[in-house]
Amino acid sequence: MENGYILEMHHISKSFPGVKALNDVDLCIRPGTVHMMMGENGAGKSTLMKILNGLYTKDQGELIYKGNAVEFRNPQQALDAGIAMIHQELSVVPELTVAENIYLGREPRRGMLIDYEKMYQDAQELLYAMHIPYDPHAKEGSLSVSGMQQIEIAKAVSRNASIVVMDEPTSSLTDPEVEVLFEQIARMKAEGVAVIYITHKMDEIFRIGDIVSVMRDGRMIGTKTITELDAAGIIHMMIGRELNDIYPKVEVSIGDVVLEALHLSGGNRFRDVSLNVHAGEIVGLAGLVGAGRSEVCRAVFGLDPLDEGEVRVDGKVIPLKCVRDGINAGIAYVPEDRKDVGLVIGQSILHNVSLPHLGHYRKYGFLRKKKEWREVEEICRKMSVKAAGLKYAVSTLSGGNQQKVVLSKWLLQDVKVLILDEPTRGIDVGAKAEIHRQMCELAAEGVAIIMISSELPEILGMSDRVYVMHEGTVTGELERKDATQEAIMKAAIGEGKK
Amino acid sequence: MKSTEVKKQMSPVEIYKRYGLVIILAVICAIASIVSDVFLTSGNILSVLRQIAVITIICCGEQIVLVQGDTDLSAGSCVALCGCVSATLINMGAGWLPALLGGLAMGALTGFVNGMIIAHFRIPSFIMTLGMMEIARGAVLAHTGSAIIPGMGALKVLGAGKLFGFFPVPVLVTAVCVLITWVILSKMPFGRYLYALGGNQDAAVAAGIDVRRTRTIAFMINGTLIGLAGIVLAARLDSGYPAAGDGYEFDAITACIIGGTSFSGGTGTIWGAVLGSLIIGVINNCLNLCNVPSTYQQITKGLLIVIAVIIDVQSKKRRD
Repeated sequence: MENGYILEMHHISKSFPGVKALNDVDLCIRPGTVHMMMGENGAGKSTLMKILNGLYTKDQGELIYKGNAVEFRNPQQALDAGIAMIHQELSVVPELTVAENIYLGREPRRGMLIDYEKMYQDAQELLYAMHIPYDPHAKEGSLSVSGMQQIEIAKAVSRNASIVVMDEPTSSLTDPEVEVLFEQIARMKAEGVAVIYITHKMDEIFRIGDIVSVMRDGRMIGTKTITELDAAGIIHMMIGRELNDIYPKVEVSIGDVVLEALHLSGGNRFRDVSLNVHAGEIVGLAGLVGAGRSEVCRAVFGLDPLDEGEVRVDGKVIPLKCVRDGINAGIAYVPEDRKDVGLVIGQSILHNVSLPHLGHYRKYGFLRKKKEWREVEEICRKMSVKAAGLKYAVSTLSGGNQQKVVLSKWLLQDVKVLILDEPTRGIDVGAKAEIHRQMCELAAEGVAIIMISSELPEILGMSDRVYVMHEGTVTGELERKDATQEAIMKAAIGEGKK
Repeated sequence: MKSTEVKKQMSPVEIYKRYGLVIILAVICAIASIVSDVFLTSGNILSVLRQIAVITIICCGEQIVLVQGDTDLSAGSCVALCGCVSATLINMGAGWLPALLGGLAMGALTGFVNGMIIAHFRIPSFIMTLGMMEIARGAVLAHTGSAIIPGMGALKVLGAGKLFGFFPVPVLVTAVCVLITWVILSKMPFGRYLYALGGNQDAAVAAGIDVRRTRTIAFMINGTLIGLAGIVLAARLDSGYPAAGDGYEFDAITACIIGGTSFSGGTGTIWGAVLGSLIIGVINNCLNLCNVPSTYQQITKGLLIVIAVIIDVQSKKRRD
């Protein structure tokens, strides 16, 4: 440790079938710093962290921790050595109490029995010292995501972790919760803990970062202290070119009304919602989370039942008893949740892309596999899906590529109305710009597009027209020229109600 | 099991995934031929195939529901029920065709009831078919008064007939069932839907697949195949036994699991299930030839299923 680093990773390489995930990567971490890791999806950040954590074994390179060359065979060994990882999807046992979760696997004992008294006392002291306002007797499952995350941090601290790795910890937190997290990070930093923080959010880098490392295509592009950098510099490192336009909006001549929804109501999810989309138009659907935007779109697609109202495509009323009715009418819905609704994650790209359209490849009841393969290959090339081959499982792809597979799936056959629910959530800037470009191309081909987005810059940058929803009703409709952040937010919190 | 295109870049794990069962079967056959002179005679091999015929037909049905993430525990009871329905029809003076169709219809009906209830009330197939196992067994005992119904008439050929004087007809029937299952699972859109349903039901719904219909049809196909298995069994015994088929569902599921099908659905092929069935059949035969008591055969079968799943889990772990 004479050079001041607690961890040094040198010349790390790792290959997966068909992909070189890491290529000669170096990373050095100093204690008491917050080290930000940035890079597009698939750049190799997570793979590198999984090697550090013992989940993956490296093909080449060496790992020096506290001055000694080490190799962790599993996460338990890494944890015992003082390297804790806090995953995006938290790993807690909801039915156990907070204290039981913190001391899981190393419970204080009295003989053969668990010393509950000591456990709860220790937990209470730990939580108090860390300013975490939860009762150690509470069931872990009763806590919010933010609460569980703080308990995970407490767990890491109680194990005397020297390095804590956090993978996009703010992705499902509210703003006040983010502040609480940042306080905890500052506290750990003051204790001399090194925090490795993976994020896509630019503002977080400058808020809490000391040092920034940027990866791209499995290589380490550079590591710099925060004072040497600005946002443009980081983006340049991430994508290797200046990002002049994340929102490459192209003006397209707008045609007739394609989709018309009239007075839709569905349970207590939304009431009396009317909207329409023209050919070649991108309509933004703005609003706060829980305003009922996804619910309306799911109903228009036939995924959820409608209580009242009707949906017309090209002037014809369509029955919406099931998804098949929506598909047959030329509607496609790209859901917010790729893994749960968008894809059969364990199956191949081919099978995922052609799944809704197998009727097109049916001849005398049999599948015409050659035709299927040819057309799926073509659409994947058009959507620039990066994969070793069509027969690989989609679970092996990065988030951005998975999203492209979902898009390919709905563009394999002609579509009139494309509904995109948060199409670029959790996707890096490069893939984002690519998806936006593809949206513009589709609009130019005459597809009517509805885009749900919680990111105002995306709504403002891409939409020809914006509907705003608040608590299940439409509270505003704005043309592109009138759409401003203020006007949208006003309607989104219900002040613009007519 | 074709391998013309992708031979270059296969890892040992992939080779195992593809050919492991064939290798295991070959090794077992080699051992069997060493310990017994009789094993490799055509007579013995045909008798192995005849013995596994009924289970392999049930395998086809189980494979179809396992792929979509379900399971059918009522298979054994339904085998008895369908066999006895056919036997009753023959005894009532019906021709072979109505008797055959009657047995198949009974199977399709139980499958339909299973699938309908599972799909519409969204209850686990494990529970529904457990209930059906009791219902079907109770029904067949009530119907027959626990007595055997002797005589299968012309249908006897399905169980005991020999083609060209040597090839057992039940083996032929089995081969046809396997072929049909293969076509359904890998040549038809319906099969693709089953895999999608087993892999991720929500994604299947969002892709426009009618889950209730798919699930119900899958159980009807399963039931029909089980009905056929029941008729073949009754034909071999030349009578309807109300106590027949006890535990057959587990033998069939065991074969599917050994063949690489997962209980959680979305994976597996019918060829794997057939190989699983063959492996069990050959081991049983080998133990028989060596005069090992049947109780030990049971232990062997139990060990086999555990080992198969251990290997499966291990090979998946290594791939990650």
